Amino acid sequence: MSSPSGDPAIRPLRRIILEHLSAVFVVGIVLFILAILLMQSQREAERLPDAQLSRYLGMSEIDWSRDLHKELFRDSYRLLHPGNEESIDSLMRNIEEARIRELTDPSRKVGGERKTLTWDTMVGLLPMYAVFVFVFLAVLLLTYVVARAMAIRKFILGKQGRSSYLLRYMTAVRTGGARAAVMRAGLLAKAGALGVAALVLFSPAYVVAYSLRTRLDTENVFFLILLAVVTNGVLVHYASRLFALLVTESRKGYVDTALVKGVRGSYDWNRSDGLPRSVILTPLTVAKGHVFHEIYRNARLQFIPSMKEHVTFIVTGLVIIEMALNIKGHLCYALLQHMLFREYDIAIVIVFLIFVAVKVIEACIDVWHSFELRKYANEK
Amino acid sequence: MRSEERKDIRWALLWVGGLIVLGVWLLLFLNTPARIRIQTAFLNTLFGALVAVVVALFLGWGTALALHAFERGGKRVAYLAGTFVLNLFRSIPQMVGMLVGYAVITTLILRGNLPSPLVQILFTSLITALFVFQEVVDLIRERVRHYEQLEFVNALLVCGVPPRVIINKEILLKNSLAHLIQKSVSLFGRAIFLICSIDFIISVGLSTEVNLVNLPTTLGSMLANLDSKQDILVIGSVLTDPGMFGSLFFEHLQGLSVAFLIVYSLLCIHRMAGGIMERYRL
Repeated sequence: MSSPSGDPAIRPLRRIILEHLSAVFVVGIVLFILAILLMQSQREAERLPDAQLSRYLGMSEIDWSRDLHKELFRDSYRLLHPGNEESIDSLMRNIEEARIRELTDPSRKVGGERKTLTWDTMVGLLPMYAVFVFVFLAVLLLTYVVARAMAIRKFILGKQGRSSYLLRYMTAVRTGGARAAVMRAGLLAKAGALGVAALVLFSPAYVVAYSLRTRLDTENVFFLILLAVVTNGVLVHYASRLFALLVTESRKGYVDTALVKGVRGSYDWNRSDGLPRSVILTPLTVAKGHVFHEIYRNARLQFIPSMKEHVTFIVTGLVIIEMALNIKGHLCYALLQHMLFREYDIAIVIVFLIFVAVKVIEACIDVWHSFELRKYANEK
Repeated sequence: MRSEERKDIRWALLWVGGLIVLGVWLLLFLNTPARIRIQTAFLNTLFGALVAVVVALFLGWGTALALHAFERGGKRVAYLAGTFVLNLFRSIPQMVGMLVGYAVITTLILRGNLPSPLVQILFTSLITALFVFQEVVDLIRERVRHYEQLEFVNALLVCGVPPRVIINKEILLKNSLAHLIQKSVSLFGRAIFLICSIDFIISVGLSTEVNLVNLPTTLGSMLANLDSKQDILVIGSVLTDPGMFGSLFFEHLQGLSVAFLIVYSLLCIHRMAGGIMERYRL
């Protein structure tokens, strides 16, 4: 087995934690500055048009809901500023928009004033954050197990020389003619089912969720977890990465050496020198003594750091689902709502909380990787 | 070459073929205004994703070379700062980063700084690129490191070839083109997914803002359209009432076509990237 002993990737625990803490600190500062800038810009945007229009809107003699008054204003304005019809149209449009804003802007209604960041707002976010972290961890765990199973199954079937159902069907039809086309129709059905499954796996979550919305309770947490695991291409990307690593490892010289030295190397199911089907779920325990055990261990070692990419991708999926489905009472829905009402200070706190969750998981992955590397380096 | 080894070409042809079939079907059964909107949305999405990939490639290439120069030049502080910022971008979930980017775009549009749809697409693509370019940096650095371990680089240095030519021409252009193409295809799929998702979210969640901020139509915003959502909801009804299956392809064509375009494109592009990987044993 190739040993990554002396690998520069082995970092002390303290350095890993320091790196992540400093990242949290820097992002905190950047987001704080961004919040100030956005709030300032928002205040200016609110103030600017009102200041220009307020003198017209404040004329007590004009009832802006009456067309007659509007036309009288237009004629008077034309007399005072002759020859510029476009500017009159623009002004009338701005006045109309300002009036609509007065009537529709939630922040101008009683009880709908903009929220600002207070202790109470922060405390209100905590239960939502707890649910978010729970869902995030559940999805992370499930995707790891399922994607690993998918990658191992694909790798072993490839080693067994199995081609796709469609190719097998086409080969059967070529050799057996029309009779085989009927007899082996099951292969075609399986290919079709796999095709549909592939479309679901690649579907963005909102497509699947909306298509099932009338039939299922899409606001259920377990549905949310299922959707986050199955859709958005999360599983496929996760599995593809591990599969690629397994293939690369299987081509290395130590595999041939191990086989020559008599290590078990058959990939047939349930043969004495082969692999049990349970290897898909428990590769480290049931494959001992088989060359696949070593291939998997080395591939896993390289797979662990790449899990950090998947962590951010999983969070992206969760954000998409919660926002697209407007699941009330969830953190990302709250984020969307605060962005909608331009309460950027609260929105940025939520962004920061999500970032912290990601960073904690990343730090755990780094510690795990470092621990695994130390085992190979015989440091522990 | 066995057909198994030409998967990328097969999937590319399947993608184009599928698009042509869908185009003909829409020509026959969908009203013209809706068809034109779908075409525009699809082209805007592809253009946005393409720009995002190009920007990501340039950004990744520049960053990788800068980090390489800092590392080799002994500029430890600059190197550590560079990797730190890179890891920071890596840790920000793409959708969260893009939402923050969207807040910035909204502000710029409201101030009149992004007047034309083209500039708006370019700006959105730039933000998308910011959250995917790290993969290009990793790839380029890995390729350079791999070749530096071989005699190849030393031999070229002895022959008097400057390091920048070795990296750009000998390593990247001559020996890593397949890797870069594979990464570009993969990023193209990722960019389509992100652009569609962010536009869907914005259109669904922030729909009251459309008067203020009208971003160019993409497949995501098209899918968030009320008509399209109604069409998608009908798919669920087919599960309990299979008799409605036929109506999907004639009466609910707009939403179904948009959803199909997104999902089918993502599937085919992923398979193309996988095919390139298998063909060149990357």
